[in-house]
Amino acid sequence: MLQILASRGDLVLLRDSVEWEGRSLLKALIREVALKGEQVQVLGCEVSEEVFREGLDSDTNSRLVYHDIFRDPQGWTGNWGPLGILRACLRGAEPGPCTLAVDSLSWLLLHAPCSALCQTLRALGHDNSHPGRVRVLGLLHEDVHGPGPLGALRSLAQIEVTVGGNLGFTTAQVFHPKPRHRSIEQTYWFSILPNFSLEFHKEPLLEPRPHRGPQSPTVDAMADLTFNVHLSKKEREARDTLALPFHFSSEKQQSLLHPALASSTSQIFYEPDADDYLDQEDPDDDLDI
Amino acid sequence: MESQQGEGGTELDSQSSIWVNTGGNKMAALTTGFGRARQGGAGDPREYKAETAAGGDKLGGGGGGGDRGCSFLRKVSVPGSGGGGGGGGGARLRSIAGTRPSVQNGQLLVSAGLPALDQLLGRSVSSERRSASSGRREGGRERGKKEGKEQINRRERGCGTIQSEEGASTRPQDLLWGCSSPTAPLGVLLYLRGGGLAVGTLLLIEEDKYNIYSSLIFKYFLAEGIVCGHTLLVASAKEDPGDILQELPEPLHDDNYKKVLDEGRSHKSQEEPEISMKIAWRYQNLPQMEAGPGTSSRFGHYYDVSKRMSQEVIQSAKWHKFFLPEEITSYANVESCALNHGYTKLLHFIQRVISEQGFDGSNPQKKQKNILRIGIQSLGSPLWGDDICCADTPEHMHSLTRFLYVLRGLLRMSLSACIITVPSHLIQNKAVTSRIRNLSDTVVGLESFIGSEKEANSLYKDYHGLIHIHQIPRLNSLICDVSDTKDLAFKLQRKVFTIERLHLPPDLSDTVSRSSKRDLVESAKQLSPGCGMMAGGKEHLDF
Amino acid sequence: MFPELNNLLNVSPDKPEQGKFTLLCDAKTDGGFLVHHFLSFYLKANCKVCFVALLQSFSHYNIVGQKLGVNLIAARDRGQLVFFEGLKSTVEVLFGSKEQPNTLKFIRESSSDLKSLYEFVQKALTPSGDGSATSWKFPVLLVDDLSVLLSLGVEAVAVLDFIQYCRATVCCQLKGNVVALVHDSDQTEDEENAMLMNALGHQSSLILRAEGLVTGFCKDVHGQLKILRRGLLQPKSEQTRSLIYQYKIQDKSVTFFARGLSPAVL
Repeated sequence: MLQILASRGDLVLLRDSVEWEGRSLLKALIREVALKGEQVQVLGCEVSEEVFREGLDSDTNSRLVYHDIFRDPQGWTGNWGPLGILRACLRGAEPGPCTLAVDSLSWLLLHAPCSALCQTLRALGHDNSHPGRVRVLGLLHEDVHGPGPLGALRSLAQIEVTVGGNLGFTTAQVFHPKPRHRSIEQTYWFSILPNFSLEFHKEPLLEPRPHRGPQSPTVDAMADLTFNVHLSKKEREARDTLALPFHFSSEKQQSLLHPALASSTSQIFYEPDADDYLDQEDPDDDLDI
Repeated sequence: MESQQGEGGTELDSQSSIWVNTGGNKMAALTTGFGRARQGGAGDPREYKAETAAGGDKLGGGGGGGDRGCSFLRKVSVPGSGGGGGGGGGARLRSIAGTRPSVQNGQLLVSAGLPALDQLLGRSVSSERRSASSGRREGGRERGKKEGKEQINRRERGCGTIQSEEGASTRPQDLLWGCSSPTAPLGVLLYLRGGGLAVGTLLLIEEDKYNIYSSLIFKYFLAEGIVCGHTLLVASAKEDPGDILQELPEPLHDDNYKKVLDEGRSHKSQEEPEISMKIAWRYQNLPQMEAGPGTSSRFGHYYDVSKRMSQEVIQSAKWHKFFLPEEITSYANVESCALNHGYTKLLHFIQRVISEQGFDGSNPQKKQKNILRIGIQSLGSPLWGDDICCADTPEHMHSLTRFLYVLRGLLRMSLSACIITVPSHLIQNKAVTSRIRNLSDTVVGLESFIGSEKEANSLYKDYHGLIHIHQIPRLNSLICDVSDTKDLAFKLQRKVFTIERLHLPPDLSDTVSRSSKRDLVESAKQLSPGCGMMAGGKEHLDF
Repeated sequence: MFPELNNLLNVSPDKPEQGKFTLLCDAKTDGGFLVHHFLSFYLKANCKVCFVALLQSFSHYNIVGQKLGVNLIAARDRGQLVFFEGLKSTVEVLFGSKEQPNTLKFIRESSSDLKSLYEFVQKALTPSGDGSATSWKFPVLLVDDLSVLLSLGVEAVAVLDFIQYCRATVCCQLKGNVVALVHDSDQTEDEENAMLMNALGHQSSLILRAEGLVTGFCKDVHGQLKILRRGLLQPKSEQTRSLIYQYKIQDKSVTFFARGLSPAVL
């Protein structure tokens, strides 16, 4: 994955969701870039600078320039547009190869018109002071936007990384369309360590999931019944004369109220044996209800 | 239990079933607690009732064991006297007619004018429900520890249940289940302790397609206000509120209601001769929804829709009128407001009535406190100048929700209760509907069968429509009192409007074609479980 | 405060977490019990609480609070609780005098700017420096619920920015917490609300989501609670980033149990 990211592209999209957040991966990638001695510009809209720098080693932090929009998203204390800051990010950067991490494109999309954002992003990649040497890592929360803006940004991106997860592992699906070549599509399994270094795993052996095939066509429930659905006249008469056990009759009432009088065929006599163990306690006493 | 499974078969072994019963007898005798219940049942039925009620009933809670019966008896006087166990608010306001304190949460309740609906909207603890409970999804809400244990005992030793239920059912009236409802004595009393609308809240009625039944409920609400001597505020953009008042139904007084209910029943029995039904003991004691009003309570009345309320009564009522076409005479001086013009007018009107008539409690020196009943008809319809019914993405999408929010504020600060009918089926943007519900307290939807394919469905042949309780407020409490039954249907009898729990009609013929049976079962499956919870996937099991 | 929920979240009033934004959601059920939990939790934890109550009146929260062992009136009197009652404030906006500055004045003016509400929160929670505020542990902002703001015509982005300003001030600057409830109207095509909820989810470090049972109403299981922890976790706790429990609300507490293990079902 890191090799792919090493190749220079204008825009790398990191797509994440509420369920699987991608900021940790963004930070891990920033660390990798910084380890190579490059300077990283960060446009931070969603978390504060302290939170963003938290966990990154001092070496990385020293190469990280944080442009903070988080504290004042609507410019209540000053006046500027979010895209203006985006453009300004690269101005103070050192000449040479440069990486800009945007946290996040979603925030920019909510605060600026989609077309303007696309134009600005496009212009960044062709900045005069860093010709062809700017790489933009953009975090995009895909569940916040409709298909329109999402598609527009995807069409700009050279590489898409979709953060997901399965069985407790984080996955990154990398999609790298190459003109005139077979596009690369690969899934990486990894975990991010507390110092934001990446640890790659082999793909865990997926147990075959219970297969939910198409439902079998409904069977006629009446087909092979072991009892009659309909009664003949005689059978019905026999049924009607029957005293049902759940039906309360005066005889039964009598038999219940005066059990001695009811000389039914089944009587239970219980004579305790001398050796019988009789537990006086409530057998359910230990149940905690 | 085995014997029940054999019910459908042609052969039944009477010998084995008797054996089950005698076995049950022995088990029950061994189980402590049931012997006691049974004795009570055989001696004085009331005593048994009281005891079973205490377990399922929150009021009796806390006191486990011996004094359960007593604590219940003490509380039973509450609904009749209109005083007692309410919170501070209840005691302070006890003198207001047509209200009663909510025993649990210290609110003041008013009736919606339809006792059957009141039942659904609040705590409706019944003795019967308690004794009916067993099995997976039932069981008393606030059982004490001991009670819970007994319940488990019952279930584990299924036979024990048999015995105790039979012990209870030695009362004659329970044996006459089929026709016992209006006279069922104790259950009704307990029912009436149940709900009502809390003062300061909003009842939203989602209109049926032709606004027939919803306007009926609207009128019940207003009529109840007049009968209780409350002040009314009627707002409409369509009909003149004066005309609405003229059409209010006549209340059925205590001895009349019974006659009418009986009438309805006998009327029915003339059509189809009473078929003696064999009902398993297990279901004999289940309560019926349409329990009639009790004579001991002055809370909530039934109304006779075939008669109009007498002129003197209407003229004696104090009421305020808001008729939109009359109010909007001049378009000048329209405040630049995020609210639509008609709504702003109405809000100011309500606010003026509340403050001038002292419903906000601001000037306590003012005479007797009273309740203001506000009724607003077809809110959100184009006649109110709203476009949520006309457009998918309306220009004034937030007008109605803003109105409801301000109204909610006004209601919470005053002694008032409000009913609003909204043509929800016309609202194009479903987002608006859900926001409206969220800003209301109680939400009840009516779905009439008129012009719907359900009209022809034999499952619904006894009813005129379905009633969906979409939302019940949790006020001053973590919990809300949801009724057990979600599938409810209503019908308009000759004189009264009744709400019943929906059930499949008994299958009296053996020759019903298989296909139609399957249709019935299918359509029964489509019933929504109600209260905002919809059954989703067919294969899903929560537990 | 429900001790069982504290156990699930592994917190207690003695050692609450700091600097976090917790999002509460409810779908097809009423998640109000979560708001009551956090209100009583932070009051018991001796935090300074600013409660922006948009949905219900003060007395409602107070009565439920008493059942959970906190007295809101007393807390307000001793300065621990700053209570913003949206319903009352709206009525004042509409019927009060126009000159009076009001936090919810957007209702009348059809502009949807939450700056005044933010300034209210900021003023309530920033220590005044005269020593009186130092006795509270840390500040907490609680909002019930944000969906109401959408109904009042505020745009979702404005609500998001409001929460972001509050996070910048309360979580980052003052090292406090923000807790907010938002309704999930999943099936009702309320796109704006769905967008708000997802975007807030991305801002949060903990999501508690109360859901009604998919199979419908049940007397003994009122719903299920999904607990989702976001952000980087210690590798060992990887398995517990997402948990689901079923719950039953009682008069004064809520019991939680693993799925299918309700005492009433067993």
